[in-house]
Amino acid sequence: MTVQLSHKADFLVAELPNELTIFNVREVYQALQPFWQSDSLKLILDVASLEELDSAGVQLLLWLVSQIHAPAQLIVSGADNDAFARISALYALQWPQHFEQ
Amino acid sequence: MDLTQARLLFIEEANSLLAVMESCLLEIESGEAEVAEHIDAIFRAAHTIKGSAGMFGFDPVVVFTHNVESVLDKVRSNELEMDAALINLMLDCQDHMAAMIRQLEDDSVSIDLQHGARLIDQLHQYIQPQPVIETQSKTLLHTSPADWQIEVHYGEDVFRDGMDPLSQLNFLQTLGSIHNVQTHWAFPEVFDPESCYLQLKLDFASDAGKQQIEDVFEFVQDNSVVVITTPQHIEQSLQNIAPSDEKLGALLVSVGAVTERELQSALQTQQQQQQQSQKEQALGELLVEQGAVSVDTVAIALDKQKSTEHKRPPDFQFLKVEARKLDELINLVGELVTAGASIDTLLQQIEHEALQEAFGVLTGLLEQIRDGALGLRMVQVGESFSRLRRIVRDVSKELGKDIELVVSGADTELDKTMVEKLSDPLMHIVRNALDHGIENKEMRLYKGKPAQGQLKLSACHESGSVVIEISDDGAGLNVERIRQKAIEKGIIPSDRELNKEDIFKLIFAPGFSTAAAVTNLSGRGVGMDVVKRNIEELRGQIQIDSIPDKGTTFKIRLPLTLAIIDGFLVRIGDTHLVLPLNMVQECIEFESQNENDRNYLDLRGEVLPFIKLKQLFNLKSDAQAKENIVVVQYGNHKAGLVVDQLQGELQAVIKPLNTMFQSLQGIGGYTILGSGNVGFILDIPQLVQFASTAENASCHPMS
Amino acid sequence: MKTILIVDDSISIRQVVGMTLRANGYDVIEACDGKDALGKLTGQKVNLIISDVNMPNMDGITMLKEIKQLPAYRFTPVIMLTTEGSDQKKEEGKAAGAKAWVVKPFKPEQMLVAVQKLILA
Repeated sequence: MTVQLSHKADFLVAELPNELTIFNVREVYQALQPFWQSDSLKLILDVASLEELDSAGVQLLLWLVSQIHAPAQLIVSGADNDAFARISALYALQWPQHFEQ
Repeated sequence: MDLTQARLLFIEEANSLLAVMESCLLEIESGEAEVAEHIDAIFRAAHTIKGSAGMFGFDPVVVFTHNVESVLDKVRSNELEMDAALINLMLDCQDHMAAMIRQLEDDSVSIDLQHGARLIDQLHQYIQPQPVIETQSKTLLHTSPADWQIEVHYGEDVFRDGMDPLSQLNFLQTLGSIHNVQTHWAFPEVFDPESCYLQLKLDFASDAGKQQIEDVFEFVQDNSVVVITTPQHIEQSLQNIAPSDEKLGALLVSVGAVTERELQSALQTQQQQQQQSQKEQALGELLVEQGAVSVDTVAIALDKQKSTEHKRPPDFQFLKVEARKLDELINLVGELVTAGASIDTLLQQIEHEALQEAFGVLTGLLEQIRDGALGLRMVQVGESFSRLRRIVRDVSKELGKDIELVVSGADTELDKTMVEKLSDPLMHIVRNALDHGIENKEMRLYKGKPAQGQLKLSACHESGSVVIEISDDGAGLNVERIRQKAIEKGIIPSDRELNKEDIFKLIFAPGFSTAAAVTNLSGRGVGMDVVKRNIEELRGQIQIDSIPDKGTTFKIRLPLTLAIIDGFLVRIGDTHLVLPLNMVQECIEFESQNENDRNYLDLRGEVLPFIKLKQLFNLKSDAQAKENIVVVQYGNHKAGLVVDQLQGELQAVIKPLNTMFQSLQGIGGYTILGSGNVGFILDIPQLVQFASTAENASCHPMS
Repeated sequence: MKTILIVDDSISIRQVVGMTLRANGYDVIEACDGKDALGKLTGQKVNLIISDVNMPNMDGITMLKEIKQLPAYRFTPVIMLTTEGSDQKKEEGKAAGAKAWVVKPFKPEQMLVAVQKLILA
């Protein structure tokens, strides 16, 4: 399974698989289409299961964030997992983690 | 002037123009000169050859040279870049033109027409128009940042190539500390998740050099843009160095402000600007535009540069004088010197102080005229060196060896005839060194030597003679192998014990060749014996010194000129003998008790072999006269020559012996003395050799 | 832990590189030529391949071209080992997708540095 999409209350949650690298970015990208194209205003990207992440994966996430425009909002959940935290630090990337009211 | 003569003039002119063309091209190739400095001279050479050849109806030369000229013209008008490939082609064309000119001289020379046609085809490719490359403007950096600034625009294929910018970031951390990382992206309309759109910008505090930092990105360098800006602390190290006459680029590279790649890229831009006939920007300006260094850093570097004038090639404008006229003049000066000497003899007899004084002034002037006249025949030995440069280049390419040629003392002057006659022996020695001396790259690395071999050519004046040294850092001579070979060839008996020096001398024996396989380079049927003979014909001497795995040095010692020598006159009975003064060390009285069977005497603790010239040449002498010994030195060897009377210094014009007497040993020529008598000029090298061999007593060459 | 496949017909190179990399926290698989390497790749997660060019049975460049056809390894970074002067091979290899080249002979530390520039530990 690549990406798990689920609705929880008025949030749309996309759960990323444990690998997001050049080897599967295309697949994940396609699987995420319904996610960023949805009408949902509150999107949650769950990266908690990520174990393997590379620059191609990070780039896909950056692209995804760039596709979401107000009033829709996207936050990243599970950002404290090791792989994700380490790489975000190297790139000095700040991910939105809370919805703004 | 008839047509044959004019034709000869053309050939001579064409050859000297081709030589100019060659040396200019080689200087550009080696980076000693800029294209702009030499392109006019190269173009003019081709242009003139074409023009003159047309006049004589040498159509093939005209057609071929026309193509060369067209390409050169494009380089001159900055439409074309003189890159390595073009220089190579031009050198090939130069070779072909030289061959065509040689054919005009000598019908038996054949020309490879197909090769010429191929060259023309290659030239045509350059005459096609070239695409124009855009340049973009950038913001300039004025002051250097506190830390290194690194900016990387990753290429689209970076991910697909398996590269991960993250690992480079991670690796950088091992060299210093990263601050202010900014990750940018430029996503296009149609996003391809496998393409890379990332850009990184960061500050980097590190003591690492620029090259070391650039190397972190070596694997993505091919399709990404990496700009590393030099921080202030490099300016400090630039401030601390002594003023230098290096070029700006080299200076910046040497302190680590600019990497070799950045310099090359700036130089390339500069050339493109030339081609597009744009105003050419200064190198410093371009480096600043690239973002490699700040304006400040360049300013400091420029300050450090001594105001070095760019070396311009000599103007190649010489007065052409027929060699015959020059020889006549020198001959006359020689006679004048002789005539002066006879007046001097007469003046000694009539004691007239004023006359003697006036004549003294005249003698002084005469000496200056003599030196001046001889100076006319002197040319810089560099002329033959530059031919060798070409050989080193071609041969090392052919053999796949990387060999650096280091030339020193190219401005040492030598008689023109000698320079000409030296060219073949030098070429042979150099070929040998390239072929057999310097090992191939693998072998060198195996022996722990640098992969690049070195061949040194040097010339200098040393106590009245010119010394030319050719030394390589190759394998050295194999003493045992030479000995074996000499025994095989029957040059020495198998039981002969020889010291190292004598074994080295064996390679000069006729019919000797050590290489297991004679390649087409060194084996041209000419052996080292011919080299030795050529050198000896110039009254020179050749010595070898070799250390296993360190290299071999050939040392050639030559007299400055062939025409006149400062001599020392001695007498045996009524025979006058002249010794070249520069070889005379001292004179001592000969005590008859020194006479023994072995003809050696003790000179202040040194063993000095001597020769009784009286016996050697079978001369009658005054039985009662006290004998003297003249100690002479040639190279490292000394010998004593026993004569009757010492008569003092003189200038002797050397006249060659009639061919009938040329087989005489120990006599090099003759001269007419002021008194009208004939003086024989002794061949000291030969006599020293006689003295060193035990057999000299039994040798009576004049009998 | 990252896994590195080293392909070289020289056992000593495999051993020295393997030892150095293992000491620095990488998992190392060895293969003695291109064919052997392709066999060992099946189903095995590999993060980096280090390969010689000249080898018996299947040379490095042919192997590289084959690997680029395998979905699971087509983006796997490859370090090619080359001897100086084999520019033609290098061009061929670059065209086939090998961007990282290390010149033989190299010191084990040099190899470690090259690896670190390519993959995260």
